[in-house]
Amino acid sequence: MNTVRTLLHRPSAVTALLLLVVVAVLTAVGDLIAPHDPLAPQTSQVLEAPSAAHWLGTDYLGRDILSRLLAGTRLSVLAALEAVLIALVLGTGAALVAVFSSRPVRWVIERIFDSFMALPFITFAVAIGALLGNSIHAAMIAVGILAAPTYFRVVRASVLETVHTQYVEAARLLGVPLPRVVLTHVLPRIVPVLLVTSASTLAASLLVVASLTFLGVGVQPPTPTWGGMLSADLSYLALRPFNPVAPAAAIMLTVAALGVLADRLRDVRGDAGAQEARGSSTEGAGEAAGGAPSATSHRATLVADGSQDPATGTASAPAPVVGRHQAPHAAETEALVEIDDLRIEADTGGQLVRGVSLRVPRGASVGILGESGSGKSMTVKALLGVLPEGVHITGGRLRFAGEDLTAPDAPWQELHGHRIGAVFQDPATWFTPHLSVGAQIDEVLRHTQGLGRAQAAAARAELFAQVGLRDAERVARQYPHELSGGMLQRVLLAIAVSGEPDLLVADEATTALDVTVQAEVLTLLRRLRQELSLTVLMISHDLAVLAHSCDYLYVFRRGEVVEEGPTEAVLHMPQHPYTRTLVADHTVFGIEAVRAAGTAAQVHPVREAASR
Amino acid sequence: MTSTLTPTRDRAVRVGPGRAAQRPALTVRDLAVRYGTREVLHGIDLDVAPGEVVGLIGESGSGKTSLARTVLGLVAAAAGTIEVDGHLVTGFTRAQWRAFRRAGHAQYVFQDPLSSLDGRLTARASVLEGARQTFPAAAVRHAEQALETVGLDRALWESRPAELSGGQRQRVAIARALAVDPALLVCDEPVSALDASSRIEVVRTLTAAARAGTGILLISHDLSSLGAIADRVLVLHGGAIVESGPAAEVLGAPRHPYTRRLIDAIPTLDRPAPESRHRARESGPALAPTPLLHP
Amino acid sequence: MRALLLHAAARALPVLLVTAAVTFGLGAFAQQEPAELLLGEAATEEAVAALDHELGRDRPLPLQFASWLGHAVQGDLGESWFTGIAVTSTIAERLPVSMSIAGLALLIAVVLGASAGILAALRRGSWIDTAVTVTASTLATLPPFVVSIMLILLFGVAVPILPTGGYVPLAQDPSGWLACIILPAVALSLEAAADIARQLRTALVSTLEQNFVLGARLRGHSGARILLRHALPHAAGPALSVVGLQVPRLVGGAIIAEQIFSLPGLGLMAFEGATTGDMPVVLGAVMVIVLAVLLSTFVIDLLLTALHPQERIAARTERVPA
Repeated sequence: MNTVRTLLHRPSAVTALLLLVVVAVLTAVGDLIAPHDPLAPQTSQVLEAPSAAHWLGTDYLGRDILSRLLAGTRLSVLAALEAVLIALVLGTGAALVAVFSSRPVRWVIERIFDSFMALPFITFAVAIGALLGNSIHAAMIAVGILAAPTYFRVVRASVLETVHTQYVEAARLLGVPLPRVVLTHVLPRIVPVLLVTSASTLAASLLVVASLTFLGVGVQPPTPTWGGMLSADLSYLALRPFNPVAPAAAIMLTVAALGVLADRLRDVRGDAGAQEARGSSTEGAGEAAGGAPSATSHRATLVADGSQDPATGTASAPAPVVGRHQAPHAAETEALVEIDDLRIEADTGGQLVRGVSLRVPRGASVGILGESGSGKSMTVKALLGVLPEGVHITGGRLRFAGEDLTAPDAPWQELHGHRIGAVFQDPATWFTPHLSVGAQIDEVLRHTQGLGRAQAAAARAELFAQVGLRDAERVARQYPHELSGGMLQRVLLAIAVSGEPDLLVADEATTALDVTVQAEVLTLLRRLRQELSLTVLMISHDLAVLAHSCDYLYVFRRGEVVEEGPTEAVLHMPQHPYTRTLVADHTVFGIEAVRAAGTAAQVHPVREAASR
Repeated sequence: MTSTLTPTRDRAVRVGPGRAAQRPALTVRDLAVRYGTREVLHGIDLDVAPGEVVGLIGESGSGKTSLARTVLGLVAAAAGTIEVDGHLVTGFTRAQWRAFRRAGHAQYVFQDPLSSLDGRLTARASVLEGARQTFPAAAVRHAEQALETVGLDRALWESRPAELSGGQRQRVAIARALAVDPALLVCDEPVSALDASSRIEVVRTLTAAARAGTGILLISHDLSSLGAIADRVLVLHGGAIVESGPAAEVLGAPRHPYTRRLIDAIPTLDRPAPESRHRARESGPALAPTPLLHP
Repeated sequence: MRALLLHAAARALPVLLVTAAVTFGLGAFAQQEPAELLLGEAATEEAVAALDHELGRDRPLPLQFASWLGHAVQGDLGESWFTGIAVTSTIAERLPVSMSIAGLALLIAVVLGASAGILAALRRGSWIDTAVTVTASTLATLPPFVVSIMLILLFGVAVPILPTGGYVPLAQDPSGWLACIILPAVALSLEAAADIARQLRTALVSTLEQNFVLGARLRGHSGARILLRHALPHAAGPALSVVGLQVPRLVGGAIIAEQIFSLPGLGLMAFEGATTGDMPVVLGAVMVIVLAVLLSTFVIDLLLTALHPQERIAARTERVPA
């Protein structure tokens, strides 16, 4: 029902629906409201121009075109509906049977529908309609059968998609019987799919009916149809060139209305799906958009508000917004990255980054700590010059080695692949799937670094050795999907450092990797940093990862820096309540908890907490 | 959760929170699982007592998810026996599995609640779905009790997953499992998809369930997320259990080299405390992390 | 490659067999009695029976089918019941006409559709994008015969520069050939072009948002290189699948174009055969059309596999529904 309401807010959908209502009414009563007899020839007024009596003129037998148009609606629409109904029942039924039946049965059904898909169905409809003695029903049954695979495929895909979800698996594990699972979880999801498919199939069928009647298949001459009218007009095109306009417009408008309706239905469905799937990112976005956390967010109760408790413990001191540790952040050394009061906003109005200042001295290793929605990723994307569409820097300065990156003529060509390298989470998604790993690293070496073929091969071998990839030749020949996440991350690191960059950005580069692999990648990062004297900017939600690799930390929360300082200071004297929660969390979940369990096994921190 | 004894199934009487009932929640003996010719698990022995939290650690490819799915009948065992809540489930027919599931002996909690909860259903409807199978007469009572057990604010009961935080969602998923009063709860990485601040609420919920007598098999790739709540820990590597024992022993004094590698791989917060600000700690925050940082 | 060929054959054979059987079976229900049509109303029962025997129509249907099939696999599709001309020679005469129209239509559709789709995706949100999207939606509602009529009005009636009927073989007069088939080919191609443009735009827009495209940018690759080497091959899959689905439509729609522009093609052959109940002709035409469609699907599968080495044969089962 939500779908209907959303649909009625779209002018194009409303227009399309109105048009379809008109067509439906004409289908029912078109012949009754026709001003003239659509069948009676008037030899005295053949091929007349439009007039008061005949609004659209007359045809080659002197029949009123408007009346024939109105009366012709019924056959054209009903025939198309007949085909859609056949296709719907056949395709949907077969799909449901196929999904829930044994493998051989499924295989046979799938092959049959696969075969139908390859058949040119107008040819068939025409052949069948003509063979079976000009029967429109025979032709429509043929069209229905040949259109059934569309339903079959769509329904099968969405049922399979639903059946393989974890919530259906959870329901099966709860012992919910299959019919009930289908009713609760599967059917509500295929109804919108069926609507969309029906609208587009109806449009296609209308065109087929028009084609058939145009060829004179399925109907006897005096019966008015839109396609038949067109074919008759064709012979007198030189005399009355505008006679085909009305029937053509009737076909086109109806088809267009169905097309628009299908598109809008699809949009509405897409929105709903996206909403359903958005989940944690919605949570993050809500937070990043500024303002108070939503009333339902539990997090607010866990983490005290930033302004509430100055970490110094002295009640009289003014509350610091940012917990800033005193240790000097090497102000003397040259800053490679300088970010001042950076503000990033989405076009939709959300403030993603709200006045962030940050310095990365040359040669340092700086970490940014923050959860999803903290603005850490946006800050990094701004630094890399790859903010997503609809997101813009609205204030502040962003400088790399003294160059202003907020300027319209920022020298990105000089930076990308040369002076800045970057690695990210989910390494597999950062490879072009259809190119081999070797081809992708060679591409960088040859086209960005300008090496020759032989030089590139040598450089590649050297880089692979540097990132600890053994069997480099074999790895180079493989495609991304054939390698593990740890291997891919190594290759990405090789690509990132291939241009001997000044700065290496590692954005959640070890997240979602196995712990042992994470440890290897972290060690590799540290080694690369030393060997290549890189400056490193690491971004993570995991305090321990940053503690392991960085000298200086910035803690991001809701688009702001809430605390910064040398790693030791942040770890041992967290000032902001949020940072304190993160550090405390490690006493529950970190290696510290493991050790606590190992040494003082009697005291169970969480069990204690749970019993409080 | 209070112990419930219903006429719809046979179940050892729960003797109360924290104390063990007579019947083990899970007993696995010499289990092997094969996919085609590939053996993913072999010689697995595993016990979970009522009210006990057993941690199972393994990295990707170790076979930990296969083990969980085999226990729940989603994957067939190639050899060995599995007993859940006193029922020998290896060799069950499909119909037997159906009846067994309806009776709610064992339940599963998935990693990502966003995928394991139907986005169209409210928290209450999701929890009711299972309760209705096991307790046709008292579904609502059991469902609401479970929602209370996991501590989900009553105001959120009619919310859909998209309107809840990650931790709240996972608690709904746990409530759905607890509503059928299972003897065994298998949790596959229940906290690894959550933000740090949500993890603690989920862990508290699981601990509460264990106190009420449910045996919990907690599966994770990450030792550190188990250390806090597991009574016993098993380390799975290459399809076999390489080390097992009380959490304190396995984590404190690992014997197997792989376990040691796992523990060493976890990044630590270990950094020397800065000299200059040493004094600040005494007047510092009440929640001082230092003792735990340097045990 | 061999696996792919085997797979294609395994898929094509049942389709061909089922198509032949169904068409043959329908022939039994045909309203026209060929013998009566041939001999006229006044024919005696005996004469009709004799002719039926001569045509082999007095045998049981499965036997008739088996004998047709036996000849067909040897390349003999029989003779027309009316003219006695070998079906294969009629096909040889008409195939070039159909191939010319469908081939040119496909070419126009792909070139036009692909360039419009790429342009729209690259200039997303601009007026070009809007123009392409609106034009594509409009064209999708235009049946080929309406476009044909409009084209005839434009180039046959208003500015009579092109022939609106007839066919000249390519070998005889290349420019005359082109003049004859350009209008029907354009009429057929627009719908397919619109579909290709829409699919390619959608696929390319989502590809351009992928991490690997962002990664290519960060590695310092030029825009053209990213588009041609990274994004386009990835996005072309769905568009190619659409081409695969459009081929049967182009071939089917050709019947109508052939009728309007009086082109002696295969579609018209099937249609004329069906109206008179001339089964050998109908069967021959239908089989060749289906074979052509299957062949083009195979070529598209080859292309898909070449584009996506990681998907191999699985690609074909994951077609985007029309």
